Amino acid sequence: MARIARRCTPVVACALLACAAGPITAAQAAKHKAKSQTLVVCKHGCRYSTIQQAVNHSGRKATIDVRPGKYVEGVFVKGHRHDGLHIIGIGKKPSAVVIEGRHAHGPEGAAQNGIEGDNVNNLDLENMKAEHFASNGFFINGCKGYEMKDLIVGFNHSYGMYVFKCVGGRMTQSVGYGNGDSAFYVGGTPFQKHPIQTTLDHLRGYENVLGYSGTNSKYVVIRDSEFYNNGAGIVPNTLQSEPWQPASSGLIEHNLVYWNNFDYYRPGSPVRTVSSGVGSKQANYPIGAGVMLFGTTDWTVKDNSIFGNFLWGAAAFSDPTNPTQKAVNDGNRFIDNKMGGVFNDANGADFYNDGSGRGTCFEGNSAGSTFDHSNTEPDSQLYASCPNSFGTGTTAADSSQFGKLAAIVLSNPPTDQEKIWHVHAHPPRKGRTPFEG
Amino acid sequence: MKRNTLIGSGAALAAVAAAAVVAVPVTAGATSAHGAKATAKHITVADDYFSKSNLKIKKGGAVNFVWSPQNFESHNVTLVKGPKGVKHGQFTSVTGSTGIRFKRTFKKPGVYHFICTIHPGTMILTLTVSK
Repeated sequence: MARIARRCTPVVACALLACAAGPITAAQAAKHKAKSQTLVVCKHGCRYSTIQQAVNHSGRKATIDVRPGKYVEGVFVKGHRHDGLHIIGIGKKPSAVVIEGRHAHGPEGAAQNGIEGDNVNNLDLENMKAEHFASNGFFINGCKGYEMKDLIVGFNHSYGMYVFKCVGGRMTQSVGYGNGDSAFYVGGTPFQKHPIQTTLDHLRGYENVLGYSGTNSKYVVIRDSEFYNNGAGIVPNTLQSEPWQPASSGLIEHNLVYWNNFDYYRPGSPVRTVSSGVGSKQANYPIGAGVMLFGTTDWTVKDNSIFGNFLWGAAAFSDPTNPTQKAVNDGNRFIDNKMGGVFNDANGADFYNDGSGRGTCFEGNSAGSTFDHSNTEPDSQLYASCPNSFGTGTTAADSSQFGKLAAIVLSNPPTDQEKIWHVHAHPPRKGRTPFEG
Repeated sequence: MKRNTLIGSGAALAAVAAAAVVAVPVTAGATSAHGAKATAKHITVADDYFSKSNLKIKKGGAVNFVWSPQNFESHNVTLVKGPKGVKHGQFTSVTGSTGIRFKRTFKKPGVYHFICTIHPGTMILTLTVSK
């Protein structure tokens, strides 16, 4: 009882002060309270010993300060009453606050995500680490705006940082490794009449199946980031299984994309692969590629440094099996990129185009760039400069190019993909070691 | 990004094979609305399909949704349309990849339409609960 009295006293005092200062509406008071609300979480001696407890007691625009420690839980933030919530680790570095997925439980089994926001706008997550979750490190499902900053995501089953059905937002200054799909993922983005950009910048993704993946993502800018030692570096894609096809209107610029030759198909790989399912004729992801535009429309790959990827530096192709025919290699542009030769670290071929769709073009890339040639179509059409009107106009590809791609994705066992790699030693890079699995 | 579907027949074969491996037709029992032991039907939640698209059970029967351990994508079971008076939230699961079991008993007859909100194009289940 005494404890309750102590809690109430400041509230009463505040109320009296407010009255003395002049009229104030209940709404204004609530707004003021919400703005100033800060909740502190720590393992011992704080009012809240779990992040979930603090979330449950937080309102709009509240701040939750999480002190250093390991928190074995999956945190769920649901609904607009949490709009503007800021959850921040207050350690000196992100790894000081660890949200641990091993032995963490949720309402229906294993905890799925380190922190999940479900229909929360402007959720800010900062300066924490999430690892070993059954699904994702950090996941926001349905939002207008978010910021994920100074986060580390490692060895989560699917994605490190994942957003779906969001309009706008930013992932920045974060690191992802060992994730079973991609380190960073922007999923289905609703069509917008006046698009709000999603920005991914100053990210570092390594030793994941994919560095960046985004199914049906739109209005995304990926810049000033580094993707290396993944199975493939940056892979926006279109799939019928998810809403808002196709992946369109994206920009990939000023990134370092290199050494993406992680063969996670090898036995004993430290990262489990998405292609470990059954069926001898399954189609597997290509490995050894820097940038792959899979069924995208109007994506621009500009002024990146792309080198040392043993299959392709950058590639574009359609998905002819998509029954909606919306996964078309249309209007993609590869401009002003510095490719393998510039770094004395060749890609298998700097560019691959399957010849499907219409108008995909190549211009201003570094001198001596190499192209994966077709036996049936001249480079002057397959790798034409911008703008152009070449291409089949459909998801059907040039037969020669399609044959190569089919052989890759149907390699059995999938480690046979390595047989067509152009393997060589890389020039050293400070602080980086090539990793192939 | 899910498993590549460049080769339709191959992917379809894989999907069929996966369903055959993971879809166990009948599992644990459930208690019906009348207290009698009822058999729970089993639905596998996989990348990117439910192991059945149509299912019929009797009033008081249960359905046990189990996420495939082979999943790499996040899924949920969401009731988008059901008999009048049924609270959708009670028949909507969390979202995740693996390690989830979501079991519900259906006391009200009618037709229940479920989807995964992340993969509504391919993950659709119509459940008919008879009197």
